Amino acid sequence: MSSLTDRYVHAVTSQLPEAQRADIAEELRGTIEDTVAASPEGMDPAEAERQALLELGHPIALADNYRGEGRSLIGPRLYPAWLRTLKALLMWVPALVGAIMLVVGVIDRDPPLEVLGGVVNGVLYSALMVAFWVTLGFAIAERTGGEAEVLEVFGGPDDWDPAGLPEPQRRQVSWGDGILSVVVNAFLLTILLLPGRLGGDLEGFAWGQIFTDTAYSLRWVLAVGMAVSLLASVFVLARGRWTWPTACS
Amino acid sequence: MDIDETLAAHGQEIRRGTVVLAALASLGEPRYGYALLEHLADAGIEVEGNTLYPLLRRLEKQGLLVSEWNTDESRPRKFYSLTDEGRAVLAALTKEWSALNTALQTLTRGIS
Repeated sequence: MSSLTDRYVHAVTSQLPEAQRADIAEELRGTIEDTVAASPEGMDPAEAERQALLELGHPIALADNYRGEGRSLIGPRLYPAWLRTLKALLMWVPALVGAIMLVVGVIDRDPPLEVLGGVVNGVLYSALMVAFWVTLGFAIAERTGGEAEVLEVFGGPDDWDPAGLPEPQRRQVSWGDGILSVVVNAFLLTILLLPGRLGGDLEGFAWGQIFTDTAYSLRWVLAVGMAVSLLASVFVLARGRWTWPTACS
Repeated sequence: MDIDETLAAHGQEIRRGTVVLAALASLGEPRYGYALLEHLADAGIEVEGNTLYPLLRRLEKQGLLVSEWNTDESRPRKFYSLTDEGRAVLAALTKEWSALNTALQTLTRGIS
């Protein structure tokens, strides 16, 4: 069996970039030996080694220190840029795709339900795609040391202008948000209650089915949840703010 | 969180920023990791190895320190020492520290 030190050094360096491993391993080994050598005389060497490792702390924590930051999918440095980019894209891309599907459906004179299905599919898929690719891009940047300014399409924090700050509203929930919430809820409820499943078959390949079999069989449960959510959003729209009973539901 | 924990957290926050200055100030002559840790402890700067050793590498990456393996002794050791940039940063940080010190002494005058 390898020594405690060997196992410790390996546990730390295996989490570090390949290029740094050997050098950090050698330095760490030397440091541990130095620490052990400096322990009080008469101390059992095995115990001294154990103490030295305990002092250095958990291997994962030490490796994090060597890397310079904790590990997260998107760290605090890139998070604001990620959030801004995601919001901006989610505001436009799905709406655009939905509109295109609508126009295409109307031009093709498809039955209304089919058009609706196409629009819903387009919106949901493009939203999913946007969220996935933006997150993936930022996660890669997080690991490769990319700069937030390079990734951000819509202007970094330096671009903001205090004059653009919105007026404080007496209504905590704006009409726009409130109406959007009601519409989205009604929309989702409609999809859930539609006869038949969305999506279709193209040369034997099923596309665009947003519900798995399990999800589909649970759609009545989902529908009840959506109905409650719809009532809550109507209530919020009427009151202009969240209150305790609506926040709970 | 009780008051002791709060105090410990704030104290740690104050000390954290001083470690870089303390390390740079000690590396006018080359030192290896453990020797630097001892040197700082003797001077009254308590810093943990798991903070100091990675910090040395970061400072080296930033060009403030340069390192060299010494294999003359029984175990190979990595010695760190200041670069010219490191010396300049040390001077600037020392100035900043003394300005902060003066400011805080003014603000805390009369507090035991």
